Amino acid sequence: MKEYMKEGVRTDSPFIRLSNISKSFAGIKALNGIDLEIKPGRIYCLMGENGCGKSTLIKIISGVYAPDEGEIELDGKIMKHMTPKEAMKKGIEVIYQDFSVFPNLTVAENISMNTEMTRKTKIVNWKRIHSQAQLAMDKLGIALPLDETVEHLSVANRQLIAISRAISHDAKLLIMDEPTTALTKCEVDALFEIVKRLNESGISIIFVSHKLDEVMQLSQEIVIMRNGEKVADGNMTDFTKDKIIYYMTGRKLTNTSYRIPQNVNSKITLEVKHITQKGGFSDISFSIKENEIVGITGLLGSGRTALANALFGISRIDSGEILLDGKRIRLRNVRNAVLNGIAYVPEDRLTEGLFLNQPINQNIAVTVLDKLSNKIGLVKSASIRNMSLEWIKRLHVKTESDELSVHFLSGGNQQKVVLAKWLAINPKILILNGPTVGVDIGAKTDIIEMIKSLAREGMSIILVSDDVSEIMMCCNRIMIMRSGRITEEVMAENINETELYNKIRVQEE
Amino acid sequence: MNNPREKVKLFWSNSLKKNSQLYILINIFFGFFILMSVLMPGTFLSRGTMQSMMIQLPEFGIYALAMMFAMILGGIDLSIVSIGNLSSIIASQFMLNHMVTHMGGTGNVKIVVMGICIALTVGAACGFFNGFSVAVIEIPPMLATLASMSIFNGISTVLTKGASLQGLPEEYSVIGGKNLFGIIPMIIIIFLAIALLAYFVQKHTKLGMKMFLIGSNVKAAEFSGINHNLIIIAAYTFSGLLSAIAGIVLTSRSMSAKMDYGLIYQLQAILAVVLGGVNPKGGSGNVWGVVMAVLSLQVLSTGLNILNLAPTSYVKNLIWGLLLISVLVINYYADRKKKSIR
Amino acid sequence: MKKILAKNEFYLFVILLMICLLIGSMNPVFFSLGNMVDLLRAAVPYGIFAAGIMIVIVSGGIDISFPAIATLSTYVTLLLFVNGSYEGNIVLFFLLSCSIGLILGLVNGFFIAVFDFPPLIVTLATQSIYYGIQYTFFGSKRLTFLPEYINSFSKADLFTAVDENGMSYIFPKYFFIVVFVFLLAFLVLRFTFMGRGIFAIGGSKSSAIRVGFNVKLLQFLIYGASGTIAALGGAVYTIMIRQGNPASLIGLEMTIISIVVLGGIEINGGKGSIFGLVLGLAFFMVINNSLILVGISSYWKTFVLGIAMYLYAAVIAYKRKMRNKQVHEIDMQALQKEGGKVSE
Repeated sequence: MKEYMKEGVRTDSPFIRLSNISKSFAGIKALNGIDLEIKPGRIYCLMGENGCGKSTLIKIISGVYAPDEGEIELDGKIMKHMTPKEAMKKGIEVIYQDFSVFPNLTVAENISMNTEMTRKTKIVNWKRIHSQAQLAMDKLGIALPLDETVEHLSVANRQLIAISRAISHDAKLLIMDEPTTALTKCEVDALFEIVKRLNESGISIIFVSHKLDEVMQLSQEIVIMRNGEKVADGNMTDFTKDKIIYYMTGRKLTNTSYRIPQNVNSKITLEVKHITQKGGFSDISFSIKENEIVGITGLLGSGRTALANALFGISRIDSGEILLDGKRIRLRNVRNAVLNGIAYVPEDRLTEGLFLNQPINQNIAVTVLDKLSNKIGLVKSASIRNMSLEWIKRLHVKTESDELSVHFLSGGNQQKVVLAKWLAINPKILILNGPTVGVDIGAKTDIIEMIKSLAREGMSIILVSDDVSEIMMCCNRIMIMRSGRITEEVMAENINETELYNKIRVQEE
Repeated sequence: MNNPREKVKLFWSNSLKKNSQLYILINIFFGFFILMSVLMPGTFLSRGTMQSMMIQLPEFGIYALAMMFAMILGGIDLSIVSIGNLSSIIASQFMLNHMVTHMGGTGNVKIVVMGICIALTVGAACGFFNGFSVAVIEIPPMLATLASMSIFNGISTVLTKGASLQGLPEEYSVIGGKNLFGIIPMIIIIFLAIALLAYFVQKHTKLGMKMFLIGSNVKAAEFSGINHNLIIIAAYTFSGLLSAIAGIVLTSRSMSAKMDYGLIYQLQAILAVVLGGVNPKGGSGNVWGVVMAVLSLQVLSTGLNILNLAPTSYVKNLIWGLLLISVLVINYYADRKKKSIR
Repeated sequence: MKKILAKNEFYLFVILLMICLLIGSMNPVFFSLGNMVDLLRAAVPYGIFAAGIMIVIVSGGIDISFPAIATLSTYVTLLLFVNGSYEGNIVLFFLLSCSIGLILGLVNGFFIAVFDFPPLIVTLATQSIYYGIQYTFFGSKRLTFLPEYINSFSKADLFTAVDENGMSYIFPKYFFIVVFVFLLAFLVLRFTFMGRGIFAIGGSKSSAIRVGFNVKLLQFLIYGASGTIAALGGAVYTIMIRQGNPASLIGLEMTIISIVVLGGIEINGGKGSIFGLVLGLAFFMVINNSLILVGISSYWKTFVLGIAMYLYAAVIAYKRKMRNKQVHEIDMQALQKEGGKVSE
């Protein structure tokens, strides 16, 4: 702040101004004519669905990418070829989603890294590194052991380190990319406190998120992007939730929930009795019938993902029993689960669901290789291609060929491939963990319709998600988890989105 | 589509499109082959030259295929040559201890067959050990096989006291010394048969397909119900088995076994595999690429020798290294071009 | 204290101490002045090479071309001074050799930094190329008639120790070189920002780029340094054995990497210390040279080293597995605790 006064610049003139910024990758426009002003001391929120260009924009502001067209004006000066180092020196700090910490270095060194970098340090003064780190942590009111290596710390603590690092020298603009995805409610609240405090001391903040409520709670200004363009911006008070959704998706979401078809006689397929996993969940009992889509929701750490993992044999339960069609089964590993007809679409499809550099047909056939092969393990490539082509057609996967590597597909089509791989085993139980995260709106509708039609045909589906609208659109029954237990069960017809939303949070307060 | 000739055409154009490296190698091989035939038809196309190429090639080729199995998983196997030597040493000691000493005759056939079985078993066991270390104990492949290389070499040294084992039964030389129809060495047939088998395993069996999938993303493989540990162990066991075969070929050709035979092949095998288009990060590769790489390297080094451009046999090192770097660079720019079109 | 116990180096130290005491108690010759001087002297080239490779491995790379670099740069330098009209002197000998090593190392760095090729593959190719150049253009002849200054430097002693039996042992001057290299590596890695950058790249390359390290330049320099140190090692080795032998270092890459790994330097990069390296080197030297003192035939040494390395690697892998689990548990506990607090 002092500097502005000194230079006689009015504080409401923008700290950074982007005009007409465009950027293409391999011929595809990631950003198209973006104009943006960031004023000092304001909290901005940058919103948009996955793939809308948010992260490209951040990388341009922080100097990682150079724009193809357009101008960046920083502190009244036009910047040409801004490098990350320069941006950092000017006070632009980014906290990436993965925090970008160094797991092998100590807390102190991690925190001091940026300061030392801008200071153009040649010789390391370890005393200074420690005192700087201490100072930065004091600013945030936290205390982590300075000499601990970061790989021994928890996710939340790693994030605190990333924040400490960002503010350890005169940051003027702090960009936080999806900072809350790995945090629990309490941690998020603590983070918001910190953000507000930083803001009060004059730092501008760009908060990137797709979680509406967080955004509305925190920000003063909002910028909404879609398909590489800025579609709306302004004061937060001028925006409503519906308006934001409309701008983000470009259409109004229609909310038709799922009902079990009438006059079918559904049997119970999966039943769990008092299952407990230490550190995951405890004493969970429920059952699910054919034709049902049961939603399991709850905040991060409520045990929803741990439960899903256990039902798929990724981790073992410590006690209790699992019955499938009335028979007790033991899930020691994923293979057990698959052989029993349980399928699982994981949360992170890139690292857990797909073989990115393998052709689509292999990605789909992976679960049925054993079935497609004969006694001595021979597989006909024609049979692989035929079955995968059939699935490509059924799920409307947009691709030129089944021989194409999966990484050429869009997020939505990738997710369809993951789905196809599991539908190929014709599972009795399908567990979906956040099936439409990061999926474009068209594919999202496709996937949700697919899920519903599968249930109509008789499959039992468990949908694990923290996205309330996803749950409401798909499920006929919803279970809410907290602290590893199922605390409430409601029928979807008896509740609306806002009520469910409040139920999940209210429990926490 | 149903026309077989069309199919073959399609197969070639498809596999070439996917594998520009194979294309480069085929050009190098045939280009150089034709060049040499034109330049020195008398010496290069002679029976002796052809035969010596076919004799020199297999042991290295089989080691390269062994390496390929580890590298498709995204791993590496630094112990292949050590496995080859250890298994042939143990087999040789067995044969030396049990052979009927009178010269001539066919009394040792049974002993030789048993010896070969022993070698294969030892090779597979060593490979299994590597696979177990990588899959179950989760030691990084490079470290696991570096240590096991030392262990296997160590056992070989202790068994032989560093000396070479000689006087193997005559019958053993059949593998390395015999020619089919009087022209084609048996060992090149063995090599090609193994290549065919490897191709078959990789492209047409679920085991092979799963190897590629694991090399591409081990976690996704686990989450798809693949028993990844078992497949990793199988791949390294296969690698060990092939190494043992390479060891047998080498020892039966030289009729002796020693702990430091063919050490130079260890790193050259990696070179041939990468040259053949296998991505060191795993998940992609093609047997024919590796076979073409081995063939090209052989033609290049033999050709240079004949042309007398190679005062020492080491010039081929130079050529090979340059070839690898150039292919990498060519691919780098080809990839960039491909990406910018997309 | 707890921190010391958690370090891999500590265990290596204890094991090394135990082995030394065991060998020493079985055969007092081990602790004799002569044996110690021999061990230290023999460790010199290994130590120099290992320091260079350690830096590369800490940065998350690997260099297996260094024996070829050492051979080629030293041999060319020798040829020049043996056959040329100018005889040179010891300083020039080192300087020229290291300069050639630097260039060869920078070639590695170029391909690794600019094209982002895997270091293992690049240095494998350049190893082939450098050996190829050596044998194709410079031959494989041993050079035995070396300039006088090399012979005299080889014999120059720092001090000559005389034991109770009146035997004298020369402690060579060139031992200083390895001490110098270790000290320099320690200071650079610990106290320069560039050195910390090497650790940073090894820990997370993408983070290093985001924080603003010029990763490409740094990689370029790292491989240049590795080449320079390799050439220095080659020069010292030539001085030690008093001949230029192009075949003497073939295959050394695996041995040196083994030493580095035994020293607790993590093969995937980001971790390691000079102190650990010294321990790894000591461990290697003792096994390599002293097993015979307790009646174990030297044929066993490869096996023993292999087993030691394997066990060490297995323990580290196990610890890593446990650590990941532990961090996961910390996270889960935090979540549970929070849940518990809320429910009260």
